[in-house]
Amino acid sequence: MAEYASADKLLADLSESAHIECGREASVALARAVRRRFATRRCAFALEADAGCPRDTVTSHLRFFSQLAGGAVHHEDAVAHFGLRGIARANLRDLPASQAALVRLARASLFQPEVCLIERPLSDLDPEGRASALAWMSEAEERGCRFITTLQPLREALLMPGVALWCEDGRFIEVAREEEDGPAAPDDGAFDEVRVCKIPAKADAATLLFDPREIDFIESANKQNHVSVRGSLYPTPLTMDELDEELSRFGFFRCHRSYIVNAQRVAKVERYTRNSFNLTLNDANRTSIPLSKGRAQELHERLGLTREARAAQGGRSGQPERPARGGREGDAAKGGPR
Amino acid sequence: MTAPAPGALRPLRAAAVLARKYLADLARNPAMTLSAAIPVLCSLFFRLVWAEQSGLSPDALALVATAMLYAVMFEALMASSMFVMYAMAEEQEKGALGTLLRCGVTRGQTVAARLASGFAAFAVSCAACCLLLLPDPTVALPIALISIASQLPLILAGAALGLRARTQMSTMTLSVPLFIVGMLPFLLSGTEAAAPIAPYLPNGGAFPFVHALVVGGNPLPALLTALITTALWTAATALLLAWMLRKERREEDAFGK
Repeated sequence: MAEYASADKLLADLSESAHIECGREASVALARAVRRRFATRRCAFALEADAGCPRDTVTSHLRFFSQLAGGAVHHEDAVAHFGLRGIARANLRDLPASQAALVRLARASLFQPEVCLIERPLSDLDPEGRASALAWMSEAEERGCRFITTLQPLREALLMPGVALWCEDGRFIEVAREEEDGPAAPDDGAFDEVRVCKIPAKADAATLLFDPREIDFIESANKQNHVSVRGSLYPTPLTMDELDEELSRFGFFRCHRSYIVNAQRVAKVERYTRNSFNLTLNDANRTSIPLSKGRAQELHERLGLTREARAAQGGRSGQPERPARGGREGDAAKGGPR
Repeated sequence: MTAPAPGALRPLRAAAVLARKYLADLARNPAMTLSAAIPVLCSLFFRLVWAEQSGLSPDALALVATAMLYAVMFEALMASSMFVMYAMAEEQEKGALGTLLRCGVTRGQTVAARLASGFAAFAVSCAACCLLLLPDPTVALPIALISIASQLPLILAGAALGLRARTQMSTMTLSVPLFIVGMLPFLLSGTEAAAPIAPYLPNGGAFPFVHALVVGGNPLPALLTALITTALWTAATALLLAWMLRKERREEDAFGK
């Protein structure tokens, strides 16, 4: 795992997009570092503190910034791309957080940036907003834009193209990349007999023992694994490999190096960009979990979303194979909407 | 879609875009629009009361000139405190300034645009006052030009103080010295002993010129006095503004203090 001593070091040594789990202070330090390092390049910043004139509408705000940026991107194009037509005449101060976040991204897009720093790019967005934001980021990255995003929680970082990191005492630590995955845990065939399975987790001084069916997902962040139960995260002493081995027979799936998800809780599988998949759970927080590109096929098979899986299920039930239906899961299996 | 400006023109282009935006904001803000309209409405009222100035006595003409200068000075105070200082404070307090600075706009460009838009609104309003009170354009135009130009130091001082205004409430305190200095020529010109000082104050240069042109007398020396006084005070307030701008740049960047 690579480690960077400061924001300046991170920007100097890492040449691709970086998505960093950090607080406000580190975010400001990063923004300053971006301004210093890329002073001669086209930079765009989309910070939560951003605001327009109180009397501005979405259109007048974007038109003004389009003119300021030199007019390379027409404000109407940004309005259309980010799905802002419905609120084009709305006053900026009346916008809910999700739409204000989209307006910030739309404004950043007007500058055709070479480097773009965004605070919490996905946090406030609804699924449609996330899709348009990730589509824009993917397109911009293909054009050569480098994204630096600061966010919480870390799982959002894994949805975006580039490297995920977290910040600890001013240092930036890279999350192990998916390609660095070790070999899968060997199947020792020890799960044939019925045995009690409880997942230990800490809550203050007590040790809680969770029934696997209660668990929504497992998250590995900042060198600590957490069990998510009814919307709350509890630290567990087990490693991800141990948890994966223990829980796979309860229908859990290792959807990412840092995530194990209860497949029964998966409500939606979406493909945002060519390399970005997302699972939305039907847990208390409607959590979004990243799905690795390399594991997407396996999950589709598990969920019976591939043609072969449907055929196998059809064969088992004695029913003929039916063509795939519409809807997001079907879309996801085919590559999904952008 | 407009073509991107060449490198050297880019800062000017950004300042022009900002100035246009600031002018539009002034027009959309009812308090600002009212501030610009009050002297014009007062001038219209005086015009209706003194339907024909040609028949007025010299004393009445002096009163008309004083009323016109009062309108100009009131408008200059409004322009420096409301159009410039208050608007700068609002931009800072609401976070719009930070957004602009992060988009590559400099503080100098925002101040230049604020000055240009504030001065343009002030000039239009004052020109309307002059034309309403002095219907003869050969008299009204030179008076309007000199009166408007003589208020430039006050508006520059408003921008300098506006750089220190962090909140809209703080402009209440910061505009006090501006109001005192701005009203001084008008107050001094009313007393015989202090009247000779008025033309040498930051915004008092136009007094003897307007008086000479409306009531009678040689306007040339008065014009020279007005031009020199205004030029000196403009240079002084421009230096103050440049110093404040530099101080501001040292203390705060686009991401806060």
